[in-house]
Amino acid sequence: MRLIIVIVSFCLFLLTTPGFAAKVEISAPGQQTIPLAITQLLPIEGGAQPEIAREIHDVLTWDLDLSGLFSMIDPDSFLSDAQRLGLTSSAVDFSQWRLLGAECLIKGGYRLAGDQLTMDVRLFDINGRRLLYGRTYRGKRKDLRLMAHAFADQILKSLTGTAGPFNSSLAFISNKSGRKELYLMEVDGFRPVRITDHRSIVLNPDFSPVGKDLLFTSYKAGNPDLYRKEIYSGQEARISSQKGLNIAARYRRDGRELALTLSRDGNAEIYLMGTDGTIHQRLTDNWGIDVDPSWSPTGEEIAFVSDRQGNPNVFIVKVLSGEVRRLTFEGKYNATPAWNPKGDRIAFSRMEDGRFDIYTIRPDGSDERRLTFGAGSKEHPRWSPDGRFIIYSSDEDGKKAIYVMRADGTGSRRLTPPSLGECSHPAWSASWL
Amino acid sequence: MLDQFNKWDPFRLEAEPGLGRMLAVSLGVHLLALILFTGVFHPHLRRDDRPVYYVDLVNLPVKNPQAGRPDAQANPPKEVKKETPAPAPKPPVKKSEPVVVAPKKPAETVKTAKASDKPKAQSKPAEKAKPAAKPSSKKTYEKETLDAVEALRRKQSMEDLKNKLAALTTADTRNGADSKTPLGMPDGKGDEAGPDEQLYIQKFLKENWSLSKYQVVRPDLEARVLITYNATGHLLDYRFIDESGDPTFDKSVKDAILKGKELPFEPKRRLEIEAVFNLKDLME
Repeated sequence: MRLIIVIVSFCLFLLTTPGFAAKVEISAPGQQTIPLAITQLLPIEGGAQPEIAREIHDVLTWDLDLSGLFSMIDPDSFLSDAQRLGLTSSAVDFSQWRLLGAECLIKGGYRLAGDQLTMDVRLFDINGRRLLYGRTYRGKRKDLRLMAHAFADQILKSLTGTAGPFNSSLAFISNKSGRKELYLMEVDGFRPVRITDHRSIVLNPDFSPVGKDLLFTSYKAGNPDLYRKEIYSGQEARISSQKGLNIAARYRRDGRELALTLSRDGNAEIYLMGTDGTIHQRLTDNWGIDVDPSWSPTGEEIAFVSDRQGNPNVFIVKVLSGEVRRLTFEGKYNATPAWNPKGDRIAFSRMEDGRFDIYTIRPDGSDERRLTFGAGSKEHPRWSPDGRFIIYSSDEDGKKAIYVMRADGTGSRRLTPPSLGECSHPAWSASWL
Repeated sequence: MLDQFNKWDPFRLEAEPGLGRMLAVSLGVHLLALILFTGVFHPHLRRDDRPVYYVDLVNLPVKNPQAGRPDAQANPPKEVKKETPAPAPKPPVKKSEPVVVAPKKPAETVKTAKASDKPKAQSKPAEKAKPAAKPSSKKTYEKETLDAVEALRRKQSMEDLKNKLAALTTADTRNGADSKTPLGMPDGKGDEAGPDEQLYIQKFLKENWSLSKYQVVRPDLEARVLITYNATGHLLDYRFIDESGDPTFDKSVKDAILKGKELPFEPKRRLEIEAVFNLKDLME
C-alpha cells in the first residue's frame, strides 16, 4: 500500500513540476515607462468650461510627468472615446486606447454650480480593462488645482503603493520685496504667497511633520532668533532667542523635539530643544563649528556639518550616546545634509571647482552619487515627504531659483519664476490631505 | 456492527477487492498501456523518428536552431550559392584585362632573353642586365617593353588589392563569401534553420513587460511563471511558480503575459515556458 502511495505521489509530482518546460529569463522590462493617456475632462452637466478642463489637465500632466513613471500619449492621436465621458469601465472603449499603446487612461468630468466645483475622475487599467481608482472631489473653484494634485497623488498610490507628494506645499525664502522673507507656493510653483513681513532677514524654514506650522530663523529683533508660525492662523511666536545663533532648526519626525544650532557658549553646537524653546540636551561638544542638523527618520541619529577635522564635512551623531562618526571624506566643502524619509540616503551639497552640486550617499558612507551637473551652484537640498523628489536652489540661470528633480537626479525643472527675485532655502511640507 | 453487515451481505465483501488492490490494478493497466504505447516490446510500432529538416525562408523561430549567424540569409539551394558569389569577384577581374597581356609578353621576353644568354641567367635583377642590353636598339626596345609590363603588373596587383579591399568594406557580407554561413544561432546545436525559438519568446515577453524603475521597491525582486501556449501560439494558461511578493511587480508580470496572448509565430506544438522575470539589468 505504501509503495502505491509513493508511486502515485511521484507521478503527481512529475505532472506538476515545471522541470520539462523551457526556461527563459527576462532580466529587465522592455518598457520602463507606463504609456498614459490623459483626456480633457468633460462637463457632466451644464455648459463646457474649457479653462477648467485645461487647468486640471495641465496640473495632472505636470505632476505625473515629474514622477518619471509615465510616457504621455500624444492627445492629437486620441480617437472618439476621448470625447465620451465614460466614468465606468463598461463605458470605455478600451480597444481604442490599446490601439494607441496606452496602458493607463485618465478620464473624468466636472460640474460647476456657482462657485462649487465637482470633479469626478477615474484611472483605468487598459490591459486589465478595469477601473484602478476613481474619486469625486468637491470644493470651491479656487481649490481646483488642489483637487488635481490630490488625484495625481492617488494615481501614484494606485500604481506604486505610495501616494505622491503633490498635494503639499513648498516654503522658501525670496527677496522679491527687497528683504528676505518667507514664502509658500504649490509644488509646481504656482500661487506663491508671502507669509512673513519681518523686513529683515528670514532663513532656514522647516515644516512641522503635520505641515501646519513652520520654523524659521529671523533677524527681526537684531539677533538670529528662532520663530514658529502657524500657516492657517498666521500666528507667530519667537521660541528661541538664545545669545548668538539660533539657526537651522529641524523638527523630529514626531514633531515633539527640534534639533538646531546654538552658539550661546561662543561656539556653534547642535542642541535638542522642546517645541516651547526649552533646551533638552547639548548634542555636540567640539571646538569645530557644528551646524545644519538633519534627523534620521527613526529619530535615533542626526546628520550635521562640522569642520572639526579640517574642511567642513558631514558627520552623524547618535542621539542617545553622543557617538560621532564621519560620513563624507571627499571634497573640500560638504554642507546642508538632508536625510530622506526612507532613511536609506542622505542628500548634501558639495563644493568643487568653486560651485556646489547635489550628492547623495548612504548613511553608512557607501554608494555616493552625484546628482547635478552643469553650470551654477546647487544648494540646500530637501526631500519630498515620499522621498521621490529633491528640491534645491540653483543659480544656473543667473539668479537663484528653486528647482525640483527626481531623487536620481533626472527631470529637473525650475519652479520659481524670475519675477520672484532670488529664491533659496526650500522646504517641503507633508501632504495636506 | 460489522458482523451484522457481513450477515446480510457476506459475498459482497469477499468479491470486491480493497482500495489498495484496485489502485495496484489501475497502475498496472496504465503502465502496460504506457509500455505498449512507447513500443518497448514492439519497436516497429514506435513512431518514425527520422530527422526532419525545415527550410524556413522567412526566418521563423525554431526549436532546434542550427549553428550559424542570426543575420544570415536563409540558405538557398547549392546552385544558387555558386552563382551568387560570382558577381562579386568579377569586377576586379574585368579591370585586370592587361593581366591577360602580361603573361604573353614575359613569354616573349624569355625567348629574347634566351638569345642573349647571360642576362637571362641573371634574369631577376633586371637593372643589372641593363648595361648589357644597351648596345642593341632591339634589346633596348625589349627592355622597355619588359619594364612596361613589369610596371603594368605591379599596377595591376595594386589595383587588385585595392579592389579586394573595396569589396570587403562595401559589399554586403551576406551576399559575399560569408553567405555560406548557415542561418542559425551562435550557440545553436540543432538541425533547423531559423532563430532560436526560446530567445524569440524571451524578446517577445520582454517587449510586453512594462515596469518603471520608480515602481520598483527592491532591485532583487523575481517572479517565476509557467506559461503554456498551444500549437497555434495562443496563450492557454499561466501559473505563478514563485511570486515576488511585491504586488506591483507581480501585476506587471501578469500584464506582460496577458498582453502577449498570441505569439507572433506558430510553434506547431504545445509550448511550456518557465519565464523568470527579474531586474538584474534594470538601470538604476
